[in-house]
Amino acid sequence: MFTETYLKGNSVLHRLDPRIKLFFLIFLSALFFVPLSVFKYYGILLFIFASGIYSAGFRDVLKPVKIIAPLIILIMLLTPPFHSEGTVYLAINGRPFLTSAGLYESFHLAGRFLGLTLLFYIFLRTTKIEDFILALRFFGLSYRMSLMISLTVRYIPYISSIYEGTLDAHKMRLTADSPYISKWNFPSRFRKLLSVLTSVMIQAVKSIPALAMALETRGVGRNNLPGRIRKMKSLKELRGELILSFPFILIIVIYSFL
Amino acid sequence: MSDSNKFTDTAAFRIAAIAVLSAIVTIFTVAVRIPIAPTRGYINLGDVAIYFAAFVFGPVSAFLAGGIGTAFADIIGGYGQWAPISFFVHGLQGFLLGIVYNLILSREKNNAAGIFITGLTCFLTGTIIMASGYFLAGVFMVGPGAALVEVPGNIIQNIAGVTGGLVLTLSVRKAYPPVVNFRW
Repeated sequence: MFTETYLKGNSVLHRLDPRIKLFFLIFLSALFFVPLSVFKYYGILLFIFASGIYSAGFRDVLKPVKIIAPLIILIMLLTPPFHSEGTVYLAINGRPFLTSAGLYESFHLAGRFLGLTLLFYIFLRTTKIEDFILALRFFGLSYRMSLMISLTVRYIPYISSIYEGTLDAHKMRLTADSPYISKWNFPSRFRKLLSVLTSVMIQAVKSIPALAMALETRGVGRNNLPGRIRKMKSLKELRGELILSFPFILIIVIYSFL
Repeated sequence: MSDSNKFTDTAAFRIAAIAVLSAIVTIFTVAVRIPIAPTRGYINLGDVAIYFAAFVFGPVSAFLAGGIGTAFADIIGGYGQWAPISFFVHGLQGFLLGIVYNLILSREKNNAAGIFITGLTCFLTGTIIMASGYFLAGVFMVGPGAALVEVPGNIIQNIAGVTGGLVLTLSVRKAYPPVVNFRW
């Protein structure tokens, strides 16, 4: 099972401090919810798309666009009927179906969703999950929460291997006489799947006490916090990147609001 | 481990339980996908694990496991833009399911009628929170038209969630009795 989102690279975005990237992610995401003109939305979108091509490559940036393409079509089809203002282009039984305001709003929403999708995709493609957790920690995530998230990251491949192993074991039990279950017979498929999920759940739950004891032995629960293996740059070391990021924020703010 | 109730009160146990449950929620969400709803892309069985966490481990662990697990599933599955919304919607869903289950548990008996009432109440709670949460978020992100398309898929997901959650709870309790002490 695929559990990695980071794409190895050496672009500026890859090398940029995760805290600055996280700030840009939140800042640009918020910008998509500010009532700007649709042209400004697409200007910001173009900037994000260009950054994505530069850091991950054209084909890679197209991947999330392909995933959300059906939804973009749905937005374009289903948004106009909710707006009756503006010039009417198409009416069904006297009721406006496609108006200038509806068309404008559908482009607005499609741009917003495409922008958010690309933003998150590029962020996760250029940021290691460990660095993301460290950045969250810098912005106030507690020690216990970050430990919980780190352990989750560690346990996802483990539970995944239990799931795949159990699935294979259940398949091995099938004989030539086993009844055929059609692809569309959802209740039977669900029932069969539940037996696999039950085995996975029992094995996973049984591992909790051992993990808890290991954590306790390592000192989790004590008041004095342990040291860190990975450390981020100090704010003093980050000075150069912060100074270089500032003009970008300024340009985006001026472009958006003036 | 003679006093298992005391053991569950420790920070180490709680962190371990939430981490393992979050990983389970992620795997149940990512591993089993039925592509139906276009806005989320697929119906998944992550809710089975959230219902299980609420029934067995209680509201706080269900909140964190549901939130962290589904957010990770979105990140891994290429739907990172939904991760913050999934964290809050599924977190709240798990939390309220745990509270409702606690309330019913103190009144209903552990027979067929009691299980049916528990299942129905939890299904209604989970569905209202999840369907309305995603719908509201969808209105802002993709507009009301596209957000409406998602609602039937979320209801189906909750039907699978409550059915699977109850079956898993009963099976795991039978196969591994110490799990009854894991609730806090």
